[in-house]
Amino acid sequence: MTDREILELMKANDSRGLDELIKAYKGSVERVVSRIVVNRADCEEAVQDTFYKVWKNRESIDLEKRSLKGYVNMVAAGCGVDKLRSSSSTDYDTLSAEENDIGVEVDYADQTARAINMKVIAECIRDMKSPDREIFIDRYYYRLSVKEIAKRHRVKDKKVENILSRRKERLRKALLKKGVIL
Amino acid sequence: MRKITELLQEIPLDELTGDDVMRADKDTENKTITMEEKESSRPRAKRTGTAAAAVAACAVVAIGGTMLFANNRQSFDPPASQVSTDAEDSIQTEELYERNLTLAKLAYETCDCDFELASPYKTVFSERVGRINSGFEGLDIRVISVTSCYPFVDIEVAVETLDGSDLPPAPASNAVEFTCDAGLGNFSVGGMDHYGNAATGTIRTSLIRNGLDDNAQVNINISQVKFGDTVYNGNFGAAVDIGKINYMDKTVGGSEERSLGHGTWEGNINGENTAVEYELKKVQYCNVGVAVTLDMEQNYDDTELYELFNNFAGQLAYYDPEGLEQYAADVGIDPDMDPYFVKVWRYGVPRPLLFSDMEVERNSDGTITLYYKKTYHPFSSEDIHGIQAGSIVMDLLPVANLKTEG
Repeated sequence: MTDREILELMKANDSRGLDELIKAYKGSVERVVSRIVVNRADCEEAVQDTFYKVWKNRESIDLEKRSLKGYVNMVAAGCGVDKLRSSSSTDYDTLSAEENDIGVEVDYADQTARAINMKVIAECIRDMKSPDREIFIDRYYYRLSVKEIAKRHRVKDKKVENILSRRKERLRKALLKKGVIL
Repeated sequence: MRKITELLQEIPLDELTGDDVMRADKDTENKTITMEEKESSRPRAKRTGTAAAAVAACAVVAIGGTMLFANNRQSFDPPASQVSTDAEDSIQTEELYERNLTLAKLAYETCDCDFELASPYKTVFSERVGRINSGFEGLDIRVISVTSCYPFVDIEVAVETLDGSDLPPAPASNAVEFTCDAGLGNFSVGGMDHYGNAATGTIRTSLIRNGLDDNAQVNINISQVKFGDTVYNGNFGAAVDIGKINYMDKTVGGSEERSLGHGTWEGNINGENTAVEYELKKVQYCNVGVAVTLDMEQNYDDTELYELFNNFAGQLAYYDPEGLEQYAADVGIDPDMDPYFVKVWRYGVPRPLLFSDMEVERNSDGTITLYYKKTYHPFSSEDIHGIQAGSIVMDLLPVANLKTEG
């Protein structure tokens, strides 16, 4: 069943759409969530929350803007982070405005510019060496704390900070060079 | 938009990680990827030309008898008994052993490594280990072998098609990582290598961290196997007997009275060079590993020890010489610094010890032992005539025994 067919079923309030969605993306959601949440019960809850939220928001899903898989994974990451926040065993903190600022105004409003910028960002992150890529994703996608990332990668906090700082600068330069900046 | 978190949230995760991206426009498919001596988390073959497109399998694995990633609507059966007695296994014992052996060898043959050197540490099963309890239609999954050399145990798993047809193709040349439950504390799983109608992968665990002993049983569960967009779901369970643990068979030093020398080494923690001082107490080695026991002047915590003796060299070993300089510059490391604490002297020259994993054991006398694993790129321990740990070079053989390369 295609994504469009799954979504059509869901929008028609047909629960078979949800079943097909789970069948198609459960593995992907589990992977995303398990990167954030270690505890088994939390993980299971986050997976369930993800599909609940996707179902709840089914009317607003637009496949022209984003693939179903991309949308589901994005929701999964959010649910994982929410679960982290409520978990006392995992260190989680918020990003400061300064740390979260790429330093340039990236055009995400215009559809063409948005597509170009997304491609530049994805390529830049994909091309990062390991473990820099994972650390960058852990921090800015999963929003794990520096301490938690350091623990997971068995490196010092300072090293994580150094990597994030350098990679952020690389990303900024890549956007300046190839992206569409306002 | 300026917030990185918001910029990233718009992009599908797979496009960031590269897991699910057909990168046909990249030159990787036409490029020889050479990782000759480096062991990555899984044995990586030298892949040339279109063969590079052959890989990408992912399995969601749980180890230790718990299933982390189960949909909570689905209950998972306990692992199947080690040896299946059901009639569904039509393969006779001898045939199964031969098939398992063939599969176990593939990881070595594709990277020009000598399987026979690792075979003393490996048990290839002649009986079916593990069983598919549900799902995975059209596939056969089983544990084919276990490799142990203290303190590491590798459980090797194979996935094959029942009808002998090729497994679905995978879009990326690099295997997707397994996702695992941390039921046993420390374990890691690399990707699976794709060999047409079969794929093999390894689940690795640490005896030290998990307190496992001889004949311990490790439970694994696989709930998903993924080849690109083709996903197989189900429940495979196995209770794997790891058997008798093998140890490194060659030891130099080890007595309290005897010192193998005092040494120094310029390591790196947090991007800053650090002078490490130590006394070398013992060296152990075999075909698939090297261990050095040190009495260190400074007190380092485990994270710092990994940083000093594992991360840096491990990271650098992933890159080609040209990439090393750039990477060193990226992370602020002196490019002229020697990242390899341990070197193995073979054929008259020191070679950096490239390893796939490292483990630290803190001994009761205050010393630490660093274990380096080389399971998938074994060498003949008979050819080693020296082991270097920082500034100390231990001669192991008379010079007359030196062989020349080739």
